[in-house]
Amino acid sequence: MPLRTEKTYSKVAYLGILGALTIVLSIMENAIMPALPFMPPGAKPGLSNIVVMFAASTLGLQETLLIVVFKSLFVLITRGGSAFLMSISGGLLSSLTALILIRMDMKNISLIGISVAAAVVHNIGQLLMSALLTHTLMLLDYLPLLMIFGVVSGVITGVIVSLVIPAVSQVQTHKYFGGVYGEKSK
Amino acid sequence: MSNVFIKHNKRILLFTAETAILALTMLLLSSCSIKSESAGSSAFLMGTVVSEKIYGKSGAEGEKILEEIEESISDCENKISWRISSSDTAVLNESGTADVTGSEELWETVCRLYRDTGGSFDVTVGKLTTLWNIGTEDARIPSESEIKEALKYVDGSQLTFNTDEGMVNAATGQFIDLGAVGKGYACDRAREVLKENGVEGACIAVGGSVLCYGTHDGKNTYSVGVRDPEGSVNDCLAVITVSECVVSTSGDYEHVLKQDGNKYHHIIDTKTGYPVQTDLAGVTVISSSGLLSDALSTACFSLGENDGRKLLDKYGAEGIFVYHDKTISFTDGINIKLQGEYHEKTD
Amino acid sequence: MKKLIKTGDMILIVFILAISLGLLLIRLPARADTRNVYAEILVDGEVAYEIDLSRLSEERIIRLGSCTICAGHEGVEFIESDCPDQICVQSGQLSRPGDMAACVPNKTMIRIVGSEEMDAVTY
Repeated sequence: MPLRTEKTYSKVAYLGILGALTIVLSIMENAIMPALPFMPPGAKPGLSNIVVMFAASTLGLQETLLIVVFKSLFVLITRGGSAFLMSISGGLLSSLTALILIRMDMKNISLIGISVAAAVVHNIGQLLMSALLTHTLMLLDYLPLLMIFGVVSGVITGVIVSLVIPAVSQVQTHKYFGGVYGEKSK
Repeated sequence: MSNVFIKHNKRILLFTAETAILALTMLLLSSCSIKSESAGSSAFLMGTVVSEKIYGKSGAEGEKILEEIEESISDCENKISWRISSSDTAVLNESGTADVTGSEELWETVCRLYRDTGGSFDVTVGKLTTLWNIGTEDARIPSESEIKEALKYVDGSQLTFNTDEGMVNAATGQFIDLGAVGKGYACDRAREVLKENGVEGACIAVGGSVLCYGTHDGKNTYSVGVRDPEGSVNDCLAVITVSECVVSTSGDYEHVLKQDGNKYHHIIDTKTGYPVQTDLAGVTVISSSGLLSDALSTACFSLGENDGRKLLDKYGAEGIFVYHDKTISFTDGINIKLQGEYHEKTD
Repeated sequence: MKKLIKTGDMILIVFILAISLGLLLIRLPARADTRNVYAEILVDGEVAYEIDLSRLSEERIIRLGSCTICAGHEGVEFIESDCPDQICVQSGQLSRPGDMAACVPNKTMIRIVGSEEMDAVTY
């Protein structure tokens, strides 16, 4: 069997699109931050997680992690080392959480619940990393607030992903590579 | 389109709204805090303002306890103040002997402190303090001869306490003034009232001596401000966090006589007869005993930091030494936050 | 349209919100009215400066590595930093107890602490 098939190249392109999408959302997120002064430093609406959640539920482990790392590398280039560390700690923890939960395929939890869990874990992960970097525990004071924002952004992200997936599942390329959450077999 | 959208997604929207409301409610609730029931009062006793705040009791019961506290402080004054003719001290000053049953601990401690401070702390200094009268309308600068004369009677070794009989004796002509320990001692008496009544917590200030007791509002510590010698009544140079204890301060700023461009404070040096000459502006002592905290603060002020620290160590107390140059030095067991221009002494 | 939300989701969300509520209640200092507020500036976890804002007569500029902080009677803020995110500078002026701003790349933090309402004063 040849190592590279048409499918492989298509998949690379597909993932490339998703990666670019993540980055665009990330940029947008940062751009609207000034309009949200009530958020604690470092907290983000989590728009880029839409793509991560999408990948976690329709593609697989490798693809999801790839997107997370890709986003974090972008952060590294544009915002520096500490932002990179925060992005990757939050990103890895939350995507792994999402992937595990999706694997578990629980009857009572929908994508929204998983999204909330992932968002909260994302914020906690980032907060822990920032505490580590600044060598203080003071920032942990934000924990409750960030958890609440995690719930809110998780719900929003979850809703959007839930709406997007059925729509996208009609698209040829998507059908080629992935399924829909709830239907996909391990 | 939008109606269809809403209809199909009613559940989601409802749910999102629920979540948002819940989240907001919690944000609002987060501005609440735990508070105990409490009662407070203030009175003018022992020649100063006494203010009490007790926790865990309120209403009529609280009022009753506050009254009891004020009574105990008043009783204490009646027992030890030389200004009250029926007090033990007045009797002692008048006749050279007195039955001090009920306050044995007080006399035993002042005698011990006289020895431990090498005479710097000496309640027979009353002969001098009543000469200067700093802090009253009769404040004046005595003449050298008056001071010399008075010094003859300032001799704590002549003050003896007989444990068995509960009697105190002094030499003829001596004058005892317990002003250096009175307020702290009153705090100890107040504490007894608190214990008897099962009060949860309290913060009682007898003049500048502050008694902290028990717990309040879910915390077992109190914040006590250390007044800035140069500031006004509410300006503090530091705030200390303490659990149960009594905090007392002795300084050169509370009672002062200003004359001819000089300042004369009320802590008289038992050796020279003049106000203690020192770089210190004040000494604050924290101890589990009110009597000790008050006495030690005066003693340390007279002794200075080096000997003062040794004394504190001996009595298991903590202290803060505040200097005129706005530097501060304090013992290790204190949780203190300095404010303003005051900073820690470095040498 | 399939039901998007399930029971489990709601339980999870309530659970998380309950935990955050719990955390808030545990750690909450009584928000007292404060007369004296002071700012703590920490670098790498160590307190570098403690500034009593109520006693500042004029503005004080502090340069810590690559962050520039301005402390005045009204509050403290990061006015300049070489970090890419500029979250610190965007946090604006801190003036109330509990307000915080951090420049994570530079490991610098500002926190406003209210001197607790004092239970008593010794003198």
